[in-house]
Amino acid sequence: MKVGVFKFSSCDGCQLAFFELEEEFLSLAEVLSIEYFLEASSENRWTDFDLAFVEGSISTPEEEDRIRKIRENSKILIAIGACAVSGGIQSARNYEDFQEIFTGIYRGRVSFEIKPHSRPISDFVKVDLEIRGCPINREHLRNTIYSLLIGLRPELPAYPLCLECKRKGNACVVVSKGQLCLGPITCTGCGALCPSFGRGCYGCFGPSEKPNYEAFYEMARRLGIEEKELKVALRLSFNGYNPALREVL
Amino acid sequence: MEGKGKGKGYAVSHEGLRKLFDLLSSEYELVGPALKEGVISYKVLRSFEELPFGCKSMELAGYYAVEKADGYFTYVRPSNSLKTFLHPPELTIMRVKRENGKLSFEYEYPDKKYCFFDVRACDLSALKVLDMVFLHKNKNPDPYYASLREKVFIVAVNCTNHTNTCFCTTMGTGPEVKEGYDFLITELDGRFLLEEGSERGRRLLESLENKEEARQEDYEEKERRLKKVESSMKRAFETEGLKERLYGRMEESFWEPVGKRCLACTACTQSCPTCFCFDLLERASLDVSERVRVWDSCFSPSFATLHRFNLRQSVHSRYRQWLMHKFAYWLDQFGTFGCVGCGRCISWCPAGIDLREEVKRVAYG
Amino acid sequence: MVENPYFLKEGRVLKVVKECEGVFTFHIATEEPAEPGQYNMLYAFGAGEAPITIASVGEGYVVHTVRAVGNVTRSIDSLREGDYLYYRGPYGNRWELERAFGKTLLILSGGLGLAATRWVFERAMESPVKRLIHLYGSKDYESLLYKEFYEKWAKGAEFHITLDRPHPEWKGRVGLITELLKELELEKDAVVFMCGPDPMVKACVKTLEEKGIRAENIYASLERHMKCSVGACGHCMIGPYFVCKDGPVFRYDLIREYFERKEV
Repeated sequence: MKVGVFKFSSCDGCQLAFFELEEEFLSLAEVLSIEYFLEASSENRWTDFDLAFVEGSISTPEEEDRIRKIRENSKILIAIGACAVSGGIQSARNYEDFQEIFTGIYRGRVSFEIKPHSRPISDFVKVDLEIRGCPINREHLRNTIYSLLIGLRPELPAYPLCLECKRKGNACVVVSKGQLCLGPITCTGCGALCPSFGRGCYGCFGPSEKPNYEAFYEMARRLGIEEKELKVALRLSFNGYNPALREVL
Repeated sequence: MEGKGKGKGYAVSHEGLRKLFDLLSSEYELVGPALKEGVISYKVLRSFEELPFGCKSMELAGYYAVEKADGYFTYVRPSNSLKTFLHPPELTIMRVKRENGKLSFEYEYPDKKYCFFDVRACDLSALKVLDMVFLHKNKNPDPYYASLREKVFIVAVNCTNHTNTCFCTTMGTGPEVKEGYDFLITELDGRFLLEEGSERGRRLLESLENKEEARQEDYEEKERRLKKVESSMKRAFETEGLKERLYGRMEESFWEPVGKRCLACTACTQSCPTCFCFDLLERASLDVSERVRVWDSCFSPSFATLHRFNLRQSVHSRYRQWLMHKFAYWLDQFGTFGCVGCGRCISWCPAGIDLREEVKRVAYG
Repeated sequence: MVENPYFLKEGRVLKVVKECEGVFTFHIATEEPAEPGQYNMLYAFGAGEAPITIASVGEGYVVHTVRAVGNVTRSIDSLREGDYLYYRGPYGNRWELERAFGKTLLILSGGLGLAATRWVFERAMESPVKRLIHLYGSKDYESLLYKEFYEKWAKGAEFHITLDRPHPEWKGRVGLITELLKELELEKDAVVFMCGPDPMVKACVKTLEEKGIRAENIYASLERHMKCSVGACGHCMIGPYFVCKDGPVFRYDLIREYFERKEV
């Protein structure tokens, strides 16, 4: 299986999940044929890929050209991480006046062309599978790779974080601390990391399957947070421009 | 397995309890309540000092806080339930190995030997309910549950307090502990009444030094204290005929109001001491796959999936499934309610939905 | 210690028949006794299990027909003669064939539902059933199952096929199964067994009741997502029933309330 790992507008963090697999990564590297992975090797080769892992959002015209080229050359394209899946934290600009940010913050001193929007991969090409998270969970990566090697369609859960949080034995921070927690509307996957340390979820894995937003706004209201404020906060999150969240913000 | 009935009684001091705790912890993995990050929860205890004596939880729908109180067993049932230990949230039930196109299977049963120290009446009822689901009313008894359950030593405690979300008197499960324990503790004024409930319990209490035989006044004080709690609790709704009423209220219109408020976050089912639903997952690498049993919930968007489509799309239909199961279907399946009135689902609902109000509205509204 | 209900047994694949695109029939060596209506849980490495009805049995083997829809079924459909299949079961209840003795038995099968009715149909042909009718609806010509048996079945019963869509090769009936059913002359005390997609079951019951057949005499084999098959995981519940152990065959009057209501 010829594999390529590619990076777009992102922090490189999700690719690290490959290395977090430690020895398993080395044994997988023997089964897979890793042709292109800048962060792992100095020898990279453009070829036809059976499997392309794509990290990062599309933020520049150059990136748009490149993702189309990767798609053409890949059988299976997997978007990894909140940037590739939703547009990333950099998509916060999508809800603002781009020119204002560009001139106000960067004072126009950027040497390459930037698009006014940071968009997920799926806005440009067909994505076969998404591994969510900021960063992704190495277990999801592991599960995905093994499933494909065994010949199965990888399946990752889409239910709300709360289910995983309870399995961990955490007491709900909304109830016991009066803290806002995005758990009820957020896709599971992180192992309920934040609530396990006594703080509310901030939505790294993006929206869960069809959350009840109305009920969630009501919950936030009880905690003293208005729907308007909440929406602003969600827009500024890693997954604020996720296609499913975009619709409700 | 713990027995029934009221046996011989003794009175001991706070020190006597500590002694019992130590005796039990030499033989069992001791599970009891402890205060952690402002919440009283069941966990594996290392010392007697971890018991949250003198703490009391103030609980409302979607609200929880711990305050100080006079006495020892001043708190109520903890935030989590004992199913955590008998029906663990995540359990590998089998390891599958693949070699030359053939598979082999390995499995082992959990061998933990638990003592549940401080189990309240509602949770004892919940254990009975779980026993029916996994063992007594199942043609295929669950060996994983059985291997843990058969070894459990139970120290029950009578509630001498209640919190706002408790409704054991409605469900007929408490506050008085009646059966299913090895020995029972009731806090009295400055001392503790211990009553044996099984042969194991009898032997343990017998081996305890510095105890007195319980006096008539001790039993009278116990009755008084239980009466006091019981009379301070309001009956939430009528359970007689509830099943039939609910079967007549399955129309969507009865459920839509709560469907609007419900987050479908699954917190109620996960904190419930009797909700047993689980999923079987596969954790595979190239030649080894683990079959893992994890807690699932009828509120999950993928629970009732048939050919990739969840048959219960709407949140209100999931709420209906849950409540109908607890108060109607369960009776037809196992002969009891699936609810023991512990009120955890009320306290731990981040949306602040009060199950009692929903039962009243749907069945009697 | 109680027996482990999740333990998997090994069965050699004795024969594989390709029914149509993505649907295969397997003969699996087994000595497990079973009854028509029951099912096995079939396991696929790394993918998990799927409940698959027992389509028939033979000397020392069981017949399963599997359509590749998910990971488990796709893996199973890649098995070939000589491979091993792992399974547990049989589970569930059976068709109460004796209720049709001395009466008319009508079997209605939709699509892959034929796999769930085939064995009881075969049994019925050898049983004291007064009149045996089997209507089988398939979406198209390509999806027809068990073609090699049609001739034999047509001799042993009133066996009729209808296709939703016409096909140049198809000389038989085209139209929905309910249309075929409407034309059928049927005794009022007939017993009906059916298996098919939920909407087909509902539509057929309606037609049957218009013909004066009572719901107590109608049985349907339901399909729900069973994960444990022993009434413990909760996934397959419909009203107070666990389809995995109380079913999959239900007398219609007992499940109507839950089956016909949306999202129960």
